[in-house]
Amino acid sequence: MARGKQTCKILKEIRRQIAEANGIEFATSECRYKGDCLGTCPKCEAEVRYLEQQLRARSLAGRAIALAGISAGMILMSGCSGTTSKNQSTEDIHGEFIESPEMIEGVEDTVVEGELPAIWQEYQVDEKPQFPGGDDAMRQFFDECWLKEKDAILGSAKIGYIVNSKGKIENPEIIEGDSLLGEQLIRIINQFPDYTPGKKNGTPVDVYKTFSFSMSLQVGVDTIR
Amino acid sequence: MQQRAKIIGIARHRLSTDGDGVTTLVAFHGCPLHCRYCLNPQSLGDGGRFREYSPEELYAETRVDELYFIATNGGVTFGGGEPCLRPQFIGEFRELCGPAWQLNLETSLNVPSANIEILLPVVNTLIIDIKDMNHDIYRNYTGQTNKLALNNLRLIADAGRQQDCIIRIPLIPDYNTDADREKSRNALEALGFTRFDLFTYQIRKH
Repeated sequence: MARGKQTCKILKEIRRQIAEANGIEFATSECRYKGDCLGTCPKCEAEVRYLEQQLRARSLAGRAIALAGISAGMILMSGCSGTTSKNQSTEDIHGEFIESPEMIEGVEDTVVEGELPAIWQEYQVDEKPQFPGGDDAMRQFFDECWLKEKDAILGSAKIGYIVNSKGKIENPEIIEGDSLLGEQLIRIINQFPDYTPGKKNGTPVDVYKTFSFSMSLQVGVDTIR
Repeated sequence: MQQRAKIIGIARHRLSTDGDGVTTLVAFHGCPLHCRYCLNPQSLGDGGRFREYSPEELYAETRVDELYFIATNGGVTFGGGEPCLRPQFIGEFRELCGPAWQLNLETSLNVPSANIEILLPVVNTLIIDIKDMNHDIYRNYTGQTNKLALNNLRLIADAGRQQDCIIRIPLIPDYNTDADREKSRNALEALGFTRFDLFTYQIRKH
């Protein structure tokens, strides 16, 4: 999620510029979060609300506010703005849509104009999909299905699947591990009841999940994550 | 009557992909076209699963980024789906957000001209995916005629708004060639359009 970190960095710089232009004290600390970043977080949002509050106070006190366009040069739509066809090189014509290279240097995941993230990762949503009754109920359900399987296949496998916005499971597939065991796991996953769907901004969305399982002679069902 | 519209997604903090500045992409459900490489195929078909918004609800949700919008000359980009099917909704949204936000459209223009007449005074920039100016290529790829799109290009040109348009001329694998795109560009230049985005459609698995 390098893009998220880069977005966070750019937004923080915009906040700094707003504060500086309006003489607002603004002390922000370096983000030390090592996990996946969506470009904003409660701490970033709190900084925005703080700036809004400070600007409102200045406005009420009759002081001028400097805001419009103060960071306008930072983000310009590239590949488009001011581009005339006569200036396009052959490379441009054949090339794929690119974004401001100075903004996304080193960033591997690309965002395409107009495209929404159709399937979200669990860490990206506000509410994760929930198996009815929670994880313990899922384990119990799985164990019951497992006992009905004809063969106990030893090994390990990881399955990826989508819980769609209606809570239904879609496209289970073996990501890694033993194919026979994987097929067995898919057979069980396909029997799962509908989930409570994951939500993003209050709206049910498609969410990608994984299911890992390993089986050994000593302990039977070892892990379900 | 208050407008309500089904929205398939809201993506915040888009940087340089959907217009200048920090933008929020708001994607509507519904499109008259059925393009093979559609980026957001969830905009087609059953919209029952998507939340319906009023302009007020959408404004309340998007204004959390107002500082970023105003500081960077950014705003809201309406896409989809086809945003130009929702001119009244977008008009009401403009009344709520005021003139400081940039409102952009990502559109095919394949809508009745009356819709574009309503939207032109409301929006700042139109990012137009023209597909191909050749009628047969267009119909093969989208399943529809491009007559409305061409009429709307003329409408925009007559209004002198060419400079507010960025026209995307894609290389569509299996449908057109660079020579076709050259013809499209020439036809568009004849109408006074000068800002083009030449790119290749990404083929995604859905």
